[in-house]
Amino acid sequence: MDYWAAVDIFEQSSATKIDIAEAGRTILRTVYLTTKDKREQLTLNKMRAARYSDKSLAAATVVTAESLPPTCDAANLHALRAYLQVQQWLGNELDPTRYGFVLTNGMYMPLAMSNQVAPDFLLDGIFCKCKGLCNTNSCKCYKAQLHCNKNCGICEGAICSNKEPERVNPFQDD
Amino acid sequence: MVLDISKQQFLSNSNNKQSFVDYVKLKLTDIEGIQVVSAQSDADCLIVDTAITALIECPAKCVTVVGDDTDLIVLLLHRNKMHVPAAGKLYFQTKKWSWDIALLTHSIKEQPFMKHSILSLHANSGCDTTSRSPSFFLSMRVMWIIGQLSIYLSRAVQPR
Repeated sequence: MDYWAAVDIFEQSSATKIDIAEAGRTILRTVYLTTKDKREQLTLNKMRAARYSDKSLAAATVVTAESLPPTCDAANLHALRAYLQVQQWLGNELDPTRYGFVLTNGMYMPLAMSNQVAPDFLLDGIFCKCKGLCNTNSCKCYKAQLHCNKNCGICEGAICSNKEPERVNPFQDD
Repeated sequence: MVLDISKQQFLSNSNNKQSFVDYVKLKLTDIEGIQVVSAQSDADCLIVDTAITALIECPAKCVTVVGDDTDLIVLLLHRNKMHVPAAGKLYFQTKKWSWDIALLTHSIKEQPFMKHSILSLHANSGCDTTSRSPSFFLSMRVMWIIGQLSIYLSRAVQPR
């Protein structure tokens, strides 16, 4: 999709979520694109991986997440939020919970991602044996900023305060 | 009563913010010559619409929108794309700068972002913090999109 065509999608009130997501990815790709990426026609995920390896080869410092392009998944959700904002400015009120926000404690919070943070075989190695509520750094899951899962010794990811909230994917409700 | 916390801290509580807005509204309504409008949700649209309505109702006067929000100037530019006001009629003023919307629109009207959607670019740049998740989009490269706009804004700037 052409960059300016993608920009125009956001003002169309009839755009589908699939179109919006594609347009959002096109815009973000253009922003982060290097000449090498352009030649190889990389997707956002591949660009993220390429940028990560470039950076980690260049210097022995920790590569921060915000210096990398977003993942496709995060970019899709960001595109939905951008669409929601543009439509709101144009006077078209949409339901924020269907466009990348979740309602928590009466506040709309942006949904960072809808996929898992890592593949299952990596996540399976992180579990806790807490007797408490799993809400301090002594809980392995809490410390790794992950939710408790079925492998956890006592809470089994069901009874503690760190249990996984319901997974939402705004792309599935249409 | 004297508060010993910062303004940001005080206003970060939505109840505090609402009661502060209500208090200011109450005090201002009493003063003659001031008209108070309060928004139910997003205020930016209402601010810009109020300014444009005022401009249409009193063609002899000039209107200044005061605010420090980039959203406001982007919305002003968008709303005035079709009907550009006469020079010296509509101003946007921040703490540091002031722009004449007519001159600004004129100086950037040939730019591709004006021919397409300035709103879309602004929303996608994540400038509006409400649609930006914390760890996402802190990179300066992302500002490239809106950077093009900012360059033109700064060229058209008039110091106060």
